[in-house]
Amino acid sequence: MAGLALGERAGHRPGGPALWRLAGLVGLGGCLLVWLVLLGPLGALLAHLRPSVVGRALSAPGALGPLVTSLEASALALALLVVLGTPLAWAMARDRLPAPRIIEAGVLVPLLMPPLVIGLLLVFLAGPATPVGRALGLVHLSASDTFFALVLAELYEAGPYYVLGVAAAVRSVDPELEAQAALLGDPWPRVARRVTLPLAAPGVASTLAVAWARAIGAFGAVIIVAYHPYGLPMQIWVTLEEQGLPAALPFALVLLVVALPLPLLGLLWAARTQRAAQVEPLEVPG
Amino acid sequence: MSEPARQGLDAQVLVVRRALSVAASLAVPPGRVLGILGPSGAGKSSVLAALAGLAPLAEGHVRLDGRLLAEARPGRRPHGLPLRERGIGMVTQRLGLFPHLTVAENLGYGAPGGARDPEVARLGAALGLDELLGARPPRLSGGQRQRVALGRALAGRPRLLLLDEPFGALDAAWRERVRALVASEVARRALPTVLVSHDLADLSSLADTVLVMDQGQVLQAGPLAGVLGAPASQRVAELVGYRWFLPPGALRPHPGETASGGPGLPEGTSLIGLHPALLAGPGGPPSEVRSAGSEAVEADWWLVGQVEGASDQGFWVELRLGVASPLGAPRVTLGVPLPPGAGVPPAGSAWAVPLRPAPCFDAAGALVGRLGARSVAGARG
Repeated sequence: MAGLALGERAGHRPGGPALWRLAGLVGLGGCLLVWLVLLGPLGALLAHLRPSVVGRALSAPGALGPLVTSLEASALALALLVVLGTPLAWAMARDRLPAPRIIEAGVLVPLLMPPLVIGLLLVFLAGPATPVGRALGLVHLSASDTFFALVLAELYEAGPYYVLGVAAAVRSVDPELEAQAALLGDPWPRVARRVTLPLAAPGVASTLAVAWARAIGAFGAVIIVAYHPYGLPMQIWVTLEEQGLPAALPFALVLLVVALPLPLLGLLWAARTQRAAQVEPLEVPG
Repeated sequence: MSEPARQGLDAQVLVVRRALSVAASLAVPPGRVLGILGPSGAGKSSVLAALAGLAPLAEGHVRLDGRLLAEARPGRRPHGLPLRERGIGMVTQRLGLFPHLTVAENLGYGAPGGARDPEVARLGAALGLDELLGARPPRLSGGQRQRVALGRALAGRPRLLLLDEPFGALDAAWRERVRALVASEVARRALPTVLVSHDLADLSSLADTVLVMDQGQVLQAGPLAGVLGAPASQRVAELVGYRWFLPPGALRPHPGETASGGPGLPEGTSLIGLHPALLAGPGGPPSEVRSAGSEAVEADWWLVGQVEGASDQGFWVELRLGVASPLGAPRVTLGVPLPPGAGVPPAGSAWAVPLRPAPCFDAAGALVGRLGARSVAGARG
């Protein structure tokens, strides 16, 4: 038996090495094909863009206004998520909340609902005629066709990704490390600063990147509650409607340029840092 | 703020973890080491967790140098100091090293001067880590990581040291050195220390007293020598390394006699526990050890069996001896060390081994006494 097992590990599989090599090549080819299919839309975009058209579209008066609006709204939405979502994520990760499964399900709801439906429901929740809308009015805010409404819609679209992602990142930090830091004399804010955050940072970074991409690309809820002021996705939609597909492509490129680099950098950094911090467990009798 | 007087650790803990209720009372004076031993799942680590504040007390108290660290009483709100205020240095089985910090930063994490604290350099050198101060834990071997964890616990100036299998990943040479370091640090700082270990050598070199635990309960407490010499029960004997349990009929008051029992056998003895250390010598064929003037005949009790075989253990030869127990008890095979160079007797031949006073247990497994001296004059030879 032992000899057979060794033989199997050494590569003597039924069917012969040639067949297995062929199967490996087919598998690799399949993986590459899926990768290419996923990249297909980006390729199509780059193939249909002409620099002269891009230059003309982006140099038109006011063409970059929606970009600035989107950057501002997404930055504000992300800042709010960091301030409001991080404690919730932390408490979820460390099981500090009553009925944790219900809380987690609640965070999942906006993620599971189609963004368009979120927009519709936001109108019923915070529209000008609702109690929430009237309360917002008291502080001179409106959740309908305003910059605030844009931020709110982006918050709903990106929020679940952020909270669940940060919770997973914090959960990946061994609570024993936090306990050790506390036993060595650190109060919890210092434990968070010296241990939890540095170790959760790769996961938090990739979560921030994904939340950024979700926020800046938010469209479904935005078209209902924040048609104005135009953000980038709305600009693409309106241009498509009014001038056709070729005219919208330059703005799609702009959206990709502002949405993609941060996620890609975040994911690459996270992968590198996680590999470096991998510790093999000790084998000590239990 | 003046330093509280050193009174050591006084604790009574009842803690429920993984459906096991664990109870223990501990008193560790300053500069002393209390060892806890027991099988996996006995609740040893749970006791340490309760002392450290990592597991909530169901009932009891933990007092260090007269200061109440935690208390839980029925019908009252439990009290517990935050972990950072307890002054505890702890090495857990998983070590909990900070993977993103260097060895020096790990060592100095709880030290007043951080990585540049003089204790970091001193302990780093004593633990053989001075070449590794800039490395991070993922790059270290298991033994090196264990030394970092120990150094970190000591560099934090603890008032109580809790060590859970702290030497398990060390090689023999480092194990010796690190044990000696722990012993000197504990004495120098008058640190009360609780040491959990599977290894009797760790406990015998460091622990002043031991608790033997099984299934969440303390079976016996006392100096290790006392526990080894007189285990309170058959279970304790098993846990401290007794390998063979024989009915009285398997022993002889003299190698040549066939009768068993006698004045030296405590009343009610049902089983006699044998530890390898209780074999008083290699013994020999009954006819030879019987001869007057031989050292071996000084023993009061003998085990007589048949040679089953031998295996070379490097420095000695282990003779496997089958002891056919009377009364239908199963046959027991003992390993008897023979001095190097001794001829291996043929299989099937009779062999008698002298015994030191061994503990005797009744049918319920409780200690009833130890094999005593035979009072019958002239029984030998």
